[in-house]
Amino acid sequence: MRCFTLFLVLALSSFAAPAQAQFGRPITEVVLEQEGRPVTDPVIVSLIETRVGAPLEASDVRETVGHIMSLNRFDDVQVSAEDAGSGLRVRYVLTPLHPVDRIEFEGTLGLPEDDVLRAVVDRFGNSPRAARTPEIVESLRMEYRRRGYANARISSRLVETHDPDRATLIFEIESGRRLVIADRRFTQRDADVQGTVTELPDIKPGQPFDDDVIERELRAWEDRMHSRGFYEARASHGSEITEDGAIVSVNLTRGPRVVVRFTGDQLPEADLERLVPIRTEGSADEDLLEDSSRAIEDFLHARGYRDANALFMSQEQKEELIITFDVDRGPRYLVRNVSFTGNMAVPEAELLALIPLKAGEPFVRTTVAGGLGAIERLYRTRGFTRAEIKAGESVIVPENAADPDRQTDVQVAIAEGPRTLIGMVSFAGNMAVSEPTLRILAMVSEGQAFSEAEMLAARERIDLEYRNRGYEGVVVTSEPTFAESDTRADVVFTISEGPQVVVDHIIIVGNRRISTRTIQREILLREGEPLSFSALLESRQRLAALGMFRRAEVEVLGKGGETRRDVLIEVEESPPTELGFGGGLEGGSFLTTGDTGLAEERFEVAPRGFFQIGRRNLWGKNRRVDLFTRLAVRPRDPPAVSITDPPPSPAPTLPEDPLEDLGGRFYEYRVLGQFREPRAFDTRADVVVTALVEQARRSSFNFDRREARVEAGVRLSPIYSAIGLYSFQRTRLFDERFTPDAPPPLIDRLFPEVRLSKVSASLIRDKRDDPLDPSTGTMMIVDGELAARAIGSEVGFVQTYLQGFYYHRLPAQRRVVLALGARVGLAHGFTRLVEGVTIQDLPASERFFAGGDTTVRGFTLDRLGNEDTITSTGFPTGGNSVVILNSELRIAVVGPLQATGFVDAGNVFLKASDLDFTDVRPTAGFGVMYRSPVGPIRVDLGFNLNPRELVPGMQERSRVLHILLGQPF
Amino acid sequence: MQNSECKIQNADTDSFVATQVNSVRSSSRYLLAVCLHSAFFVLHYGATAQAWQLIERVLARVGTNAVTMTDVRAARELGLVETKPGENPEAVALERTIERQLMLDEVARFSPPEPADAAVAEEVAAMKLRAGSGLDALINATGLNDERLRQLARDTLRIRAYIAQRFGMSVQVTEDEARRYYEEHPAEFIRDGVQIAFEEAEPVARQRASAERLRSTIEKWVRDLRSRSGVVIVGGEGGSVPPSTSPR
Repeated sequence: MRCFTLFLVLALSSFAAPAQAQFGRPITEVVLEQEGRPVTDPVIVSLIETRVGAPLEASDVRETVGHIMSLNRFDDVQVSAEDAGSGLRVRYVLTPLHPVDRIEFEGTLGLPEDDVLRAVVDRFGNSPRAARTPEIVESLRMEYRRRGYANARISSRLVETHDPDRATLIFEIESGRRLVIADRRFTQRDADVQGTVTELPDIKPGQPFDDDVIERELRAWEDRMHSRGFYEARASHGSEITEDGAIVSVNLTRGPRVVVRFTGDQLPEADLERLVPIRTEGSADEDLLEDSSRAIEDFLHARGYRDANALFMSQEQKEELIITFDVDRGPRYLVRNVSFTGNMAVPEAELLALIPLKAGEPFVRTTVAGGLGAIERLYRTRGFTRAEIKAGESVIVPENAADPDRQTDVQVAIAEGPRTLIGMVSFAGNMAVSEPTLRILAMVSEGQAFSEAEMLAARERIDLEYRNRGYEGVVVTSEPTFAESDTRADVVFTISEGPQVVVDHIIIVGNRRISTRTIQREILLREGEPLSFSALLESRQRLAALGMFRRAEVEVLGKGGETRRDVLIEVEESPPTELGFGGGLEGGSFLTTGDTGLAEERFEVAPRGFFQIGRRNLWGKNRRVDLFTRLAVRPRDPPAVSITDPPPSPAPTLPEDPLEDLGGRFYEYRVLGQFREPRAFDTRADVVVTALVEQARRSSFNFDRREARVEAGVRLSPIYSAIGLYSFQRTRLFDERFTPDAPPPLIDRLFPEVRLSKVSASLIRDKRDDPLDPSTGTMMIVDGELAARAIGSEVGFVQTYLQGFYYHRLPAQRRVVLALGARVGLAHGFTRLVEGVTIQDLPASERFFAGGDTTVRGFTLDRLGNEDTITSTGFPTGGNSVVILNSELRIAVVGPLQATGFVDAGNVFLKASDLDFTDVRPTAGFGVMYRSPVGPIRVDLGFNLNPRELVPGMQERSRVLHILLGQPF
Repeated sequence: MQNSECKIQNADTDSFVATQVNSVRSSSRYLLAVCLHSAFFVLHYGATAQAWQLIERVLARVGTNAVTMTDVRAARELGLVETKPGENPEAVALERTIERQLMLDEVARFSPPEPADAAVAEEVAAMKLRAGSGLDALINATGLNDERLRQLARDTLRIRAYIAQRFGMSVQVTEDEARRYYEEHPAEFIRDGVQIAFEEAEPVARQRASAERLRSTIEKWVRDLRSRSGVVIVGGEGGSVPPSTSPR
């Protein structure tokens, strides 16, 4: 008895109140699980609305489930609660989706794997839902049957993978024996009418049965028949599977051989196929013939043959269908005069501009109709809501009856009607936006001309404002009420606002290396704030502009009608490491030292290669580090020899040449390391730190340089940018092509190696439509630079460089772009006393040079100058001022090919004060450009229009060939 | 258990019998104790296994939207979906809720005019009336609040407006169709035990045939929506709680 009593007590106590969720009780613990493992993903954790310490609310649970499911990563979320003494323990069990991301095939396929995969993907997509697997298996079975495997055995299985949660759909296929064609039967439907087809499709017994192959052969047969004029030939087939194989039944229709003839007035040969596309359409049915007749008439009408007609006639003869188009052009009508009557509010000149018909041009009714439409629209926008525009034509009978042309006067009669002005403007239904704000947005006021186009624009502006405030369901209408004989319109804007949608959670998924904060910075939406249409659009654009993602999507989740919506930002990061390498040949004209020691221009081709490696998205931000290297091998220019001194005897030993054992080659190289920090120190500025080592050749000298620089650039607006830069560099000149008779400037002799410390600033205004190959827009750049001894420079100077470019696409059928450019550079050296000598100049590496493929193209690289800047041996020394003027026409020829014609002019002056715009040296030339996938490749031939004898006894070259990648300006 | 062959090796048969009786008494007590304790353990741990109470789960996915347990309950008790006597109320309510979500997604694509506030308030009152005395329990279990009720009312009105706009309030039927309805539903046209003549019943037959046609058109539309969308009924026992694998 005691035991029994004890049992009852114990049983009842354990059976007492089952632990049921008691909403309102405090939560003591929240547990997240997925497939037996705790969930720590911060994205998921941030979506949990039930919090420890807070009471358990059903609404919080539902909201949490909604948030998690909207990620589209889970099949189910189950929420349960357990009594935990003083409160409740809440548990979320997440069952992940395993979307199929791979499809594989095993077994004996019998068909190419690509074909089988395509059969699945074309119908079910690259990631079919696992639930559709039976449907896919059945579809594959049908496909195999169609391809000759009537007994293919197909099964499937799904293999789930984790982290990430995906699945592979595997099909096991045993194709079995392939059927062969046991028999084939041809039936020609029109044999008794059109005669028997002698050439049959190549389908024979014994061939493997494959529906695709049969279809291809039937299409090929049709093509062969079409090419012989049997444009209506058709073939179709059916098949029956038997034990012995497949019986293929082919139905053929040959149709008549179609002959097209033209009588009457001739049409251009090149247009016949387009106007009468019987051959290309493979049909001669009545509809096509009528369309062709209309096309011919329209073609002639557009050329002024107002009365043209093209009647057709079909005549069936034995096995032939002869279609004859009889073309009667009639006389050609030319415009003599266009006049207007009834226009009081709009001057005739303005109306004439809307009808693109000039005296002497063909009279085309459709052009007149287009003009009338434009005039009507003009009147409507000016408030003439009842304006009527009609046109009449008067034909002048020619004195000479044989004259094929007819002069035509066009008379446009305008009934303007009353002008409607806006009276009262009112708004109804607005609660969220005040009336004064709506008035500003509508931009519609009393006394303004009433037009439907303006009303539409006003509605759209109001609509956009509401959408930017989160009212995605807003409807804006406008209703005018006319009065006072239609001279006044009172307008009421009615707004149905609908609910305001607010951003609930912003969920960012997919980022691994990029920090969430970097992404959040680009998102203009904020949790708790209205879901703005413009902010959503701009956020998408800003994410894409980061350049860090292969894919970045911003999607608003939730159902229509919900006033709190989550925003899901899903990104797929770009590969962090970029590698690039390439090689090729560089061609161009360069100055070298001739046998006589004078400068000679020589066309050189040098092999060139580059390698670069970059790593992006460093430490979670869009930081980037790049290493760029380039190497070119050029023939080494021999050292200068004096032209006045006779060669000594014996010949002097040439200075030791460190490169002599390398076969007289000069290695031109550049090694650049760069680190980029966007939005440095949480500002808008991007900071770039660069270290550079290079060795290069110029016309008068070679140099090597070591440089370190820091620059900060900020985009002030969509078109304005500013850059500030500090640079510390050391430059050494060597292999100078100067002689005692033609020495280099003093500063270069005093500072063959110079240390420069300089600061510079640039302001850029860029309104070009395309930075690589612009067709419209302008670009202006102002640079200023200061090197000072006070900041560590051995030589002090100030320099400014102004650049302006203009691009305009001319009105022409082809793409014709007029490109203009102007560049001016001025520099001034600070006075310095060195070894008792006063210098006031810039070192060679900082002086201006001009001439070459991107400046004045009638000159070789650096060869532009005057007696002050070109030595007596013909080598340039550069100057302290430069002017470069360019003008060019870029004409699209065909496809990616473009022809150019250009006129350049410019000069280099010794001092800034020598700058003279009237002393510019002109050149002209032409070239071709190919728009390759990597950018424009140009070959230009420039002609020096005024070659001079700057070197005694040696005229400048009259023409120079340039090859370059990219546009010169 | 008793072993009739069990003997205590004792020459005294009386002792043997007494021992047997004693053995029987001891065995019975032992048996009872084992049964009771077993029952105790079964009841105790069985009850313990039911301590986790399922409060929410996903029953279906309609695109990226989830249809949950509480959604279906709210829809059924507020009268947003209809179930007929004899039908499995849970299964039918789930299907109707899925269809309601499909319709809402379709309606959202065309942005019909917003219902007036007065109409929304009227619909909310109607929902509360249909929930009756169970409204408080429903609110407690599902977390419904005034805002959510208004949203549900607004959704209902938007669906109705869309259907009226797209399919009209009635469909024209021919005389033949009205007659067919009359012949297929004789029980609806009985007066005083006699079927009234078609000529007299025609207006009503027309009206009901029209309503039936409209209903079947809407049903076809909903079936089309379903075939085009990704509706997934989530598997698993509704109501069972998955075992906990995390330590307490």
